[in-house]
Amino acid sequence: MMADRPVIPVSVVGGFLGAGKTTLLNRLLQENEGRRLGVIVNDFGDINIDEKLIVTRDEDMVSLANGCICCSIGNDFLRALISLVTRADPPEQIIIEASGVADPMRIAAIARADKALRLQGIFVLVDATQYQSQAADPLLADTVHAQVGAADLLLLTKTDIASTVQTREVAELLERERPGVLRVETTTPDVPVSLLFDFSASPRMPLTGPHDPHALFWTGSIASDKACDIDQLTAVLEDCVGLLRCKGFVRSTDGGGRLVQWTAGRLELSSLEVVPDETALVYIGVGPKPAGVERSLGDCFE
Amino acid sequence: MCWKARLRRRAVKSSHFGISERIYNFGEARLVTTTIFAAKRIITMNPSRPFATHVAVRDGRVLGVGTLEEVSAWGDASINDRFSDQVVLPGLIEGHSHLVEGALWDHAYVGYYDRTAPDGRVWPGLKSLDAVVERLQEAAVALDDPDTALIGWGFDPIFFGEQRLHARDLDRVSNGCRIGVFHASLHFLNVNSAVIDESDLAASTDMQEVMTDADGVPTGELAGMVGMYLAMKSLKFDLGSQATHPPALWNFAKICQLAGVTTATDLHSPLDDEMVGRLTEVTDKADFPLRIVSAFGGTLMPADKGTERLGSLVSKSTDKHKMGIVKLVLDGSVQGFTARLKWPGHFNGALNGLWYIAPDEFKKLVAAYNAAGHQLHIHTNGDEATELALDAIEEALATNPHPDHRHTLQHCQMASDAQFRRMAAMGVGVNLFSNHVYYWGDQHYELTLGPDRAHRIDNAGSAVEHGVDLALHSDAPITAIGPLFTAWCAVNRVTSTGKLLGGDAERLTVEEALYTITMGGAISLKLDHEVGSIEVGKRADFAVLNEDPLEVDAMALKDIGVWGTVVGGEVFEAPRV
Repeated sequence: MMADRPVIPVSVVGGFLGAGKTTLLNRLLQENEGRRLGVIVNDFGDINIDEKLIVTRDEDMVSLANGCICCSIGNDFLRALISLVTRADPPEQIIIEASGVADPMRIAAIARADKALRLQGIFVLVDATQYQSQAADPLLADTVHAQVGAADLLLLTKTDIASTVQTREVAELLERERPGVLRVETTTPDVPVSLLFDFSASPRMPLTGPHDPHALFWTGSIASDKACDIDQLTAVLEDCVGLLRCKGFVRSTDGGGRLVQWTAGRLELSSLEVVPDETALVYIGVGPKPAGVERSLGDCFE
Repeated sequence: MCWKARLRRRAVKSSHFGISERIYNFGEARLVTTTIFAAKRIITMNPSRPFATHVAVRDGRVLGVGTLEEVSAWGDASINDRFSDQVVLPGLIEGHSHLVEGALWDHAYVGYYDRTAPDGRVWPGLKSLDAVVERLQEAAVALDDPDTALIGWGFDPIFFGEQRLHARDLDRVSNGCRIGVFHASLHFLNVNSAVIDESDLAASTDMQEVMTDADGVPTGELAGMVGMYLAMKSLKFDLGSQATHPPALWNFAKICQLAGVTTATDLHSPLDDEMVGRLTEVTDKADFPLRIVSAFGGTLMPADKGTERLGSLVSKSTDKHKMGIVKLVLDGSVQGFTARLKWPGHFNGALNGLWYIAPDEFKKLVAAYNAAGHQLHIHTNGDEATELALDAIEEALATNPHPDHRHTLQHCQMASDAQFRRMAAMGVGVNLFSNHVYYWGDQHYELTLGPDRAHRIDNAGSAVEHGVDLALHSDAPITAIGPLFTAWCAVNRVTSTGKLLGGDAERLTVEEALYTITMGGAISLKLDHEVGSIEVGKRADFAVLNEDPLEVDAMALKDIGVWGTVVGGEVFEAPRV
C-alpha cells in the first residue's frame, strides 16, 4: 500500500528568527502554482492566510482551496510530519520550517532516512541586517554558523533594508564560511518562492523555466535519442556553477535506464525498469549562466 | 532560611487542646470520623514538633500530631496501629518527573540497573548484551499480535564499553516483527533489520544520526529526531499521547506509591482539554494514590495564548491534580553534549550544546509568564543556560516584581557559587538532578565536564549554604523515581564506580536531605501550605517506611523498604509480587 505511493520531495527552510521564513512560507501557500504543498510551520499565529482560501481548519491543520495544507508543529513536530506523510492524499511536496534556533541539517536527516521522502534541499535565510551582530554574539554565533553550514542554498534577505556595504560584507562573510555555496540576494517582499518548488517533479513544469520578473534563474532542457555517458554527465553537473537542480531520464551507454536527480550539489542516480528511448533533462540555476552549459551537457550524449 | 537549626530545636511542649469535638460539618448530617495512626516514630518536618508517635486524621487532613494522649483530646477516634513497627514521614515529593514513566511499563525494561515495575516486581538490571536479547525474547513471546512492534526501554550502552548493540543482535530476538530499543535518555534508539530495511538508512550512513559498524553498515543505532521519527512512523510508538491514558496514569501512581511518593509532577505537558479531562477523572478516584502537579509547556503556543490558557487551567485544579506552573526548556542535556556550557566548554572538546529556545525569545517568554503571575520552572543544564535564565528572570522581575514568585531552575547541574548567590538574591529556587552524580558522574569527570566541574555537579550543599530553596529529583523516566535514592545521592555523592564527587561541603546531611525530599519539594511547587510536613491543617499524606532513615547508616538510606503511603488519610499499601 505505502510502497506504491510516490516519494515526496522535502525542502527544509532554516534561518534565525526574523530572517523572513514566515514571509516566504506565507507566499508559498498562496502562490503555489497549482502544486499541492504540505507546509509545516512553527506557529499558525504568524501565518497570514486569506480566510476566503481556507476550506477546513482545526487546531493544528488548515486546508486551503488551492490544495495546500498547512500544519503547525503544535505539541509535536514529528506527529505533524507523519500525519502529512501518511495521509490518504499526501501532498506533492513538503516544506518544513525549522525553528529559529534549529540546525536544519538535523531536520533534513529525517527526509533522508525515510524511503517515502526525498530531501530536495536545505534553504537557509540569512538576515542581511542582523547576521554580523548574530555572528559576533557569543550566545548565538554557533547556532547561526550551524544554520549557514547546513545550507544547500543561502537566501540573503532584507537587502533592501540593509545598506549596500552591509549586504556586501555579509555576502563576503558567507562566501568565506561556505565558499561556492549558491547564494541569492533578495528583498523582503520578493523572496523568490519558486526556488523552493520541486520544479522537475511535476509534469506542469514548463521546460522554459519559471517566469521570474527578476530573472534570477536560468533554465534549459536537453532532448536526445542518443545514449548518455553518466560519468561525463556527473562531471559536467559538478562543474556547473550556480546549478540548482537537474532532473530527467536518460539511457546510459551501458544500456540501462537511469533517473537523474541533481539537487543543490547532490547527484542521485537510480535505475529504471524500462529503458527510455529518448533522453529528457531539465535544469535550473541561479546567478550568471555559465557559458557553454548547453554544449557541455550536449557533449555527454554520443 | 535556617531550617536546620529549627529542626534541631526539639523543645516538645505538651499542649492542651480545649476544643470541643465537632461532629457535624457545615450543617450536613455527616458524621466526621477521626483516625489516629500510631507509628514507631513520626518524623514530621514541622520544626515546632519534629517527632511524634501519633497523628490524628480527619477529613483527609492532619488534625493533630503528638502523643496518643495529645491527639486523643480531639474526641472519639478509631486507632489504626498497622504502622506501629513503621516510621512515618511526610509523603515524599518528586518535583521533576514525567508521566511517560507510566506508559513505558507496557514495554520491556532492558536497563543496566534493577528497576521496580508498577506491580512491585523488581526487574533485575541486565549486565550483558546477551541478557538484553534474552529479555526481549521473553517479551516477544508475550506479544500476541505480530504486527505490533516490540519495544524495549532503559537501555544504556555506556556500561558495555566498546560493545554496541547491533541490529544482528536484535534479529536474534525474532524474525519478522519490528523491534526498537530506547536508550535511558530516550534520545537514542536501536532498531532491528526489519526497521532498517523499510527505511533509507543504508543510503544515509554519512549522517551523524546513523551509527555504522566497521564495514560502514548501519548498526541500527539512531540518534536524535531520525530515531524518534522512525519510532513513531515505523514502530507506531507514541509515548507522549499514551502518558495520560488511564492505565499509564495508574502505573505511574503505583510507581510513586512504591517509592513513598504522594505528590509527583508531570513537568511538561500540553494540557489540552482532553488530557485535563482524563487527568481529572482518574485522579479524582478515591483509590488513586497520588497528587499530580502538571506544568504547562510554555513553548507549545505563543506567549499571549499560553498565558491565557494557563490562567484558565488554574481554576480546573482539583485536590489531586494541580495546574498553574509553566515549564520552559532552555538547553539540552550534559551527557548528550547538548547543554549550553560557559567557557571552557566540553572537556572532550565537543561543540557547545543547543538552545532549545532562542535567547531573546526566551527572555520574552519569561517576561510574559512572570507578568501573568505564573511560577516558572526553567530547565537549564549547562551553566551558560543557567546564566541566561537568571538574566531573564532578573529583567522580568525588574519590570514586574512579584514578592513570592518562586521561579525555579530545574536540573541546573553546573551552577557556580556566583550563580547560587544570584538565585538567593532574587528568591529563585533550584531543583537539582542529584541522581546524575551516581549514574553519570564518572562520564562527567572523564568526558563531558572534566574533574573541576564534575566535582561541583548538582552541588546541593552550596545551594543550602547560600539559602537557596532546594529540591531534588529523578527526572523519571530518565532515572527511576525514588526520593530516598535521590537523597542518598545528595548525601553520599558517590558515582557508580565509587568515586566521590565534591568535598563534604557539597554533601547534605541525612536530615537536610529528608527535608529536601519533603518540604523542599513542596516549597518548589508552592504547595508547602498543603503538603511536605505532618502538621495540623495539612493534607494527611505520609510515606510509611520499614526503617528509620535517621537511624540507619547514610550509605543504607537508599535500601530502606517502603511499606506504602497514606494519601488524604487513605492507606495504600505498596503493591508486592
